[in-house]
Amino acid sequence: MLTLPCPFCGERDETEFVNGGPTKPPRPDITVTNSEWIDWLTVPINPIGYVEEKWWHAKGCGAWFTIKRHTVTHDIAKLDG
Amino acid sequence: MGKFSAFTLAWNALSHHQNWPRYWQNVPLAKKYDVIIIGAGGHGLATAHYLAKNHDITNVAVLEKGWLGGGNIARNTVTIRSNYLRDESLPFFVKSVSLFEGLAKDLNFNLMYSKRSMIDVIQTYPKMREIRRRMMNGYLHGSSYNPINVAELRRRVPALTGGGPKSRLPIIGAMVHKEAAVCRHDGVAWGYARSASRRGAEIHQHTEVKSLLRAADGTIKGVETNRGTVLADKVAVVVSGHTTTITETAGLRLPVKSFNLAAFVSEPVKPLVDVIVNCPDLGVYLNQSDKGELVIGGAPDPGQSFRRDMKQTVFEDAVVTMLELFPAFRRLKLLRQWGGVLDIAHDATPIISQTDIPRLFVSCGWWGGFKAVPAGGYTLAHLIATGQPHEVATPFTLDRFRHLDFVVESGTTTAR
Repeated sequence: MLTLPCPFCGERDETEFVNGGPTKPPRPDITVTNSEWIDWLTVPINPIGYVEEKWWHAKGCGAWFTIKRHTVTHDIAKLDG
Repeated sequence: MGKFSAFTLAWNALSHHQNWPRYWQNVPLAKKYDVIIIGAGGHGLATAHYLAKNHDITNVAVLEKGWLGGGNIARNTVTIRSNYLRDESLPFFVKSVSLFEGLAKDLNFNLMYSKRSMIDVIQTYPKMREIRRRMMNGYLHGSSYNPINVAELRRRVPALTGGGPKSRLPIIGAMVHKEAAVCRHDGVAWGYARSASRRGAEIHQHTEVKSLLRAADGTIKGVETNRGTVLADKVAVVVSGHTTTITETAGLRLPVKSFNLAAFVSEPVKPLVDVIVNCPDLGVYLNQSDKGELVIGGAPDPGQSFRRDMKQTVFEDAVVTMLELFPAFRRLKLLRQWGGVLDIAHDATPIISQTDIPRLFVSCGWWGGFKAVPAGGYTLAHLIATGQPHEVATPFTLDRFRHLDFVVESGTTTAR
């Protein structure tokens, strides 16, 4: 069973959480080209490896938080920085 | 060579069935082809078949990392249906269902095709509204979807004893999709492979594509495999969940994410359910195989995944919700579970398209791609041969992301 580290409640069972998808890079400046904007809007990262993603503790404290999770092993790593 | 018929069956019986020709030929890998198809799964092999049959393009190599038909064509719940929602999706899936109906004859291969109706069990009014909308759109496109009441539902599915007036989610009605069918998934892969091979296409198993190669002018040049470099005029990536893994080797990023969708089967029992039962409010669906096993599918894993197993929580969810409607199934033992990696665009509609790299094609975003195998191969072959999308696949190009003109589909498994 996967447990996720809620910053408020600590390690909790994954059934309490809702996945919020991978995080996006920072929103581009207004001067970007159309194709760069579409890329930012529609193209997610999809690695065989660590993905930085958001989770919502919906059936708990309600907090949103970001973790790094491996898409094959489900290993959860510390965020950079 | 080796056409299956009553005569050849009797003829080969004389030699104790020792002299049947192989389904497909294993020939040496050449240096160059007209078309390379990456992935010998349902869609890839169907594409090779229709390239040869409809467009006379036979200098084709289908490259497969593992073994033929070992990917998602072996990892689905064999449901064939066309009860989708959108005007853009319906003609495509109606085409696929009609191709499936004549497929055994087209391929000269017994697919054990069994048309048996799908019944959607409805337990909430929002779902009832959504499904009535699908019914009306189905009328427009020739996909039947007819309401039945609860008494008729229980008459047709006697094993469905749960969901009474006092339950958590009482059943309020049901919908019958008459065109729905099941067929043998391995038969689809082998039938297409046999047909493609006898028409001249080559199938190379255990040939893993490591990267895509681009010429100096940016167009596609070929692929780098574990058996060396293979050049081609056109390359099609038809590898389901690992599409981005391959296209990113040529610097092409696509608007899809990969997920794991799993299913499991029970021990074989006597004939019990003769339709496909889908419970969209609970997120579980099942049918009974010819062997008698109940084939049960549930929801995808939350979050991106490249695993091929079933998560305990997903498994428990599917079993618990199924037992709400089929309490008698609690005595069944479960035999096997499996998962498959699929990719999906955020509008849940497939992508059959040319890409930004000239002469590189992708067919991805298949979620419930088994039912789409014939039409997916048919339209991708059309696109590769003519350069233009087939009329039923026009809405499925990558252009819809450039123009933010999405086809948001709720008729797929994910949208539950």
